[in-house]
Amino acid sequence: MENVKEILAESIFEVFERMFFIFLEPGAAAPVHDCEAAIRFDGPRRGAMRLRFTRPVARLMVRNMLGLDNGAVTEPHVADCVREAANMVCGNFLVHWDASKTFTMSLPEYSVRPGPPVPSGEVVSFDFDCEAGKMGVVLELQA
Amino acid sequence: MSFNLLIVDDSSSMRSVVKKIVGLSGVGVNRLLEAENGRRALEVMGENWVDAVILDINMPEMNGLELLRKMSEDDLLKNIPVVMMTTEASESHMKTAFELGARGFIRKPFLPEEVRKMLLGVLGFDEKGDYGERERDPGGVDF
Repeated sequence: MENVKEILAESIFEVFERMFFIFLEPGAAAPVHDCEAAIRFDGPRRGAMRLRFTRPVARLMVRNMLGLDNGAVTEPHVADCVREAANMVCGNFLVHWDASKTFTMSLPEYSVRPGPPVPSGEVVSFDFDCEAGKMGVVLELQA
Repeated sequence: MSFNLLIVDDSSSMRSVVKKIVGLSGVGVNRLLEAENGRRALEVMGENWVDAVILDINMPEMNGLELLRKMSEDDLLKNIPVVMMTTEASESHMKTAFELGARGFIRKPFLPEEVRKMLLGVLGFDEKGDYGERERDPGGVDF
């Protein structure tokens, strides 16, 4: 699992730095997250990944990715960016984990005010800070 | 020389980013067409001349590999250069994509220069941006 944790961290950093121009640092968990994108994957291992954000971080992602002013950011922008972030982090993780294996990913699902995760299986989680607030990533791997 | 390009991705944010990159790439663009899935892309290609396609894999209704298969079976579409731009970059997915005729591959998250270079390659430009001095080969990955 230590290998998985390292690969996941690298995958997260790569996506956020390249696509959202956000530099994450390890931090404490947010008391509550405002939105979440969840994606499942199947293959040699089954699992799921959840990316959870406070609202200011999600809006910063949109601003940076699309070059918009804060006032121009809409809820559909936020939902789309957060879903795409989950898609990219999960895909990036699976390729770095083992590109010789074939995984299929679900379409990411977006939700607002997500409850606390109820993970099952083996769990790897990270909490990060950035200039706008907090985000977290939860990876669940089924046996 | 200007081209009609089709960007196929279910993320409107990703389509916007690619449009910006294409706009800055130096490639002469006549029309930048968009589709949110493979089914819609087929409709767009039925109604418009398309010189090249930038194609995601993980999409609803008809995914990128299904669209590639449909294009490979159609005499009018099978020679349109397709660049895969996806997070689902396992060796088997890429092998399938190249067998179905994809000319290049860009892994998300990408750098703008990677998109520009690949696009110039499939459209027949050399690395300086001069047209027609080399065959339409982006120098992609061998499988």
